[in-house]
Amino acid sequence: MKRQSTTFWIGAVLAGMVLLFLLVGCFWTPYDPEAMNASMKLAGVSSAHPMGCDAFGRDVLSRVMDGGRSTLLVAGGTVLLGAGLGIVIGAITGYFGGLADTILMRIVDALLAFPSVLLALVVVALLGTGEMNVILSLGIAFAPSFARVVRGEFLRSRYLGYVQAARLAGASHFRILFVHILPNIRSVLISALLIGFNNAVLSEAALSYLGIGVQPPQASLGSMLADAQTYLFTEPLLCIFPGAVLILLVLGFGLMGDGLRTGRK
Amino acid sequence: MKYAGKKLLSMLATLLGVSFLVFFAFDVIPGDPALAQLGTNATPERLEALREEMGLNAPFFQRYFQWIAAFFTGDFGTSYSYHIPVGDMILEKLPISVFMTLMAFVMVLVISIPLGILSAKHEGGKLDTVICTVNQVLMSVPPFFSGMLITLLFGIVLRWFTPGGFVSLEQDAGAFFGYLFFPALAIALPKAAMAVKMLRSSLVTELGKDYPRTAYSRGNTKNQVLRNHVLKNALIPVLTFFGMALTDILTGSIIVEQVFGIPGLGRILLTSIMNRDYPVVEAIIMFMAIIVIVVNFLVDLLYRRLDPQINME
Repeated sequence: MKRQSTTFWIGAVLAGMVLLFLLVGCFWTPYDPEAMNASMKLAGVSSAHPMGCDAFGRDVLSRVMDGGRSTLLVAGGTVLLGAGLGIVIGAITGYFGGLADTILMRIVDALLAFPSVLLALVVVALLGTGEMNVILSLGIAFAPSFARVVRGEFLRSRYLGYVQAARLAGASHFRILFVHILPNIRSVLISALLIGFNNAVLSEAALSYLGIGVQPPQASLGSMLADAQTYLFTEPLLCIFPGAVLILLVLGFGLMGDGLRTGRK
Repeated sequence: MKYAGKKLLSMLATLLGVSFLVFFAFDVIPGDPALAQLGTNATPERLEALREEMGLNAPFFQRYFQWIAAFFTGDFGTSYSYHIPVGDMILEKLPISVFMTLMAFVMVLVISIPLGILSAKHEGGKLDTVICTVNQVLMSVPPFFSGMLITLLFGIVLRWFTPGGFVSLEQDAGAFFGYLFFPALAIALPKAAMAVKMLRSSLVTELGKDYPRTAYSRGNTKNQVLRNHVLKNALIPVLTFFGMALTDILTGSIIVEQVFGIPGLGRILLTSIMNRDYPVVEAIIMFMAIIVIVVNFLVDLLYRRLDPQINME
């Protein structure tokens, strides 16, 4: 394996720690994240509840673990959908060109004119709220930017020697696109994926903060922050914990992407 | 000039495409606006009459062109839930979003340009390391969370403003701008951090070229080289980012409005989405898209203007 920069490793350690923390949350949380306990309403930090309790007496640590898991799920799903669509559209338009390229790129340009949160809001307005709809709406919102990046790479690759050689050897277009070119543009793809993942985490948090993402009582980092805002005067710590997890996750992936990009030059 | 004309045409084509997508998207969803307006116990005759009156029985393309034509004459339809013209609703709230966006944008420029230059000047030094680290952290903070932290620090600990105490422009202009300063700062910080990073790397690239070396050899100091030779060239690639930042700030204001309890465009958009009040949603989305497209067009023209090399192609 190639030696990566220090920035990359700092990011990898940060992201790894948060991921591990959230991964544990998939299987085990100290308390039931949705169990309410009236006697523990807004209880402060203690050894039994390391992050305190929220307004319904639910354990914040358990909710951060559970909410982070749903944030990860939505962000992962978004990136898979967005990158999948984007790669197919970008590969076809960049490699074949012609009329399909002109038409698809016009649509991509029109979609890119909408900032992604706005586009996601439109799709949520049309389909309704909920985890799956948020994945769908953010996936559609993110596909155009992936398509742009991938198209540029395929456009550049199509005249390169190895592609011409593959064509002479009789490889089908499908094989050239996905077996020959795609692995060769992986470094660009990986940094696009890391940036996309971060944007997806931030957008998901924004949507559930606005109350149109994951629906209560299920926890999500964004909706926890929205709830915590009501108690900002009296219990400022309530917003610090979910916010810190969000920042550490995004910071970790951001540093990894940064390290990869500068390491390549 | 020929280029501007070509760009103008392509901008109009994009606008047409966007309007078509918006109209189409809101047309295919199930739901009958006439039914929504009259309620479920309306008689079929009345429903049919209202449908005819609202033009819902016309073919798709006829309705689309009517909608577009009405849009450009300033008629954005009537809100389903408030029964008042959508245009009035938007115009009333538009100043809040516009002022907040402009304030945040000015902050991005004021913060990022000096810091970017400072960071590039001391590349690899202690100051540069500090600026880059702070940048990376700020870039990871979602604007609504930075809004909450700002409320916590300036509103609750320092008491520089009253959270939730928004004052409209008509009531008291001074208090209005004073209050908007904080949400604007919340949106501006992450964007400014990104701008510093881009400007720094652009400046560092330019400083490594031959012409700054020549400038040094003629006795210029580092400050002079930065100010008189390098800055202008380094700003060109960052310009696109500033254009994008402006439009991101505009849409980001929807979210940050909620944090600071500001009754602006964002609040209407969100309640309209919840109430399925589609004419309002359509109009606000179109408004935002138009602003985004026009800003991109202007950035494109400015870009051409600043970089003569692009013109030579």
